[in-house]
Amino acid sequence: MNSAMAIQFIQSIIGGALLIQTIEYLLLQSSFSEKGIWRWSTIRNDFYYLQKPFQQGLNFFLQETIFVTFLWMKIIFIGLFITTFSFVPHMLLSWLILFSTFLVSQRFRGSFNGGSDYMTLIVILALCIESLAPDHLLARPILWIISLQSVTSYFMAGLVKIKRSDWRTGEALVVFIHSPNYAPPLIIKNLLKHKYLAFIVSWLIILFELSFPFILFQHKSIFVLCWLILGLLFHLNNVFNFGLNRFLFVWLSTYPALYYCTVR
Amino acid sequence: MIGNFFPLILYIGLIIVFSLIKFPAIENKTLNFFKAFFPSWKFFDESVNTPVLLIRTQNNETLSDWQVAYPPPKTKWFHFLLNPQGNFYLAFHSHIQQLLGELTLCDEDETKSFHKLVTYKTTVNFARFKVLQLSAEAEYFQFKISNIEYIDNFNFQVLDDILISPLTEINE
Repeated sequence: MNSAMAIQFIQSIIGGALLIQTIEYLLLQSSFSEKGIWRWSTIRNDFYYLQKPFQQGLNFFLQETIFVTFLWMKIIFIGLFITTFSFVPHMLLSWLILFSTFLVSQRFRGSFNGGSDYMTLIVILALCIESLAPDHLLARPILWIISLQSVTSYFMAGLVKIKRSDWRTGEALVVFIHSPNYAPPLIIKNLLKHKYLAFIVSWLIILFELSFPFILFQHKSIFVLCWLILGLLFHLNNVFNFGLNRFLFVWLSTYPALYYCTVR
Repeated sequence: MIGNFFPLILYIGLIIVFSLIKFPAIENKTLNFFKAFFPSWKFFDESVNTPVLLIRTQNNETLSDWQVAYPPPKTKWFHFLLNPQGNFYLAFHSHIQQLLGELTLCDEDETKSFHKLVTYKTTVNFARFKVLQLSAEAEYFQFKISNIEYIDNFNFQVLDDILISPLTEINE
């Protein structure tokens, strides 16, 4: 896989992820209407510290009716971004998508879905910077930046867990699975009632996350592919246990970069 | 061989070192505006249960029982593709954590004006939004943030209350 191909893959996957996110926002339209939860008339008070022109800009884009139109327009931008035959310059599309994604995150007070919103923004920002140079001149460093962000995310998640004694004993996993905040399948709840199983699963998660950066030390495609498949299974598990579907596609979008930086 | 990997080893080492340092929270609002570009990636670092939002309504002087406003939705197989309700729930969950964080940081004076904060107002909206979905006749509603424990699939007991709202008119 060459760098241009890796960028193309990332573009398609992150485009798909953005499409899903935007459709989800449109399906939740009533929650950010003026009779809903995230009312712009309330949320805008968060931005009192910004200079007047910025406040006016946010007020324009993020009020209810304009925001919905804005989301529909975003779908068009993403559609054009994914397809290679576009009449709009690709660089312009990338920046428009970055701008719109950033504004959407501000509409929900910084982020709607935490980590997945952050990784989405980082990947798009990287693609925007890549689009500035002709002939994929910046592709290689950009692919490395995306790879490092991806491995850092896994590694940091593993690091905070291994530092906590309740994660090391498996207790934290039991608390998560049985907390009133999540509704995993009953079979998972019952299985993790067994302390030794919770201990094993907990350590598997910690070891998987901590070992992820070592993918960058590998050059054999079979090893890298195995690790990426493990990553996919890890995210699928998070989808079905915790409903984290956005994480699945956003993190998948970083995998072509990881593959390029290792197997190349 | 090791020389080739030196930058990577250094990078991992730096992550470990930085993870051991406790950095102060960024106070600068403008920098906070761009915080989405600087994530900490500390997922699931707390094992404590997040409290839940309980709501009840009042109609003709009669108060209903407390009920969990937003129970976690069950995940179906197709939710890996599209899961608006699941993501709405996760956003709600993060909101409650933010509310508790802001409540913890409040001093005495700030606690008195807590109801004026955007986070509190948004919590009122969360409660009202649900009450309107559940009962068209309700005149008033009340909410509280509590730690609960499920006795069975439907019934729960309140372990402790963290915040209780006054009775609020449903019509704004």
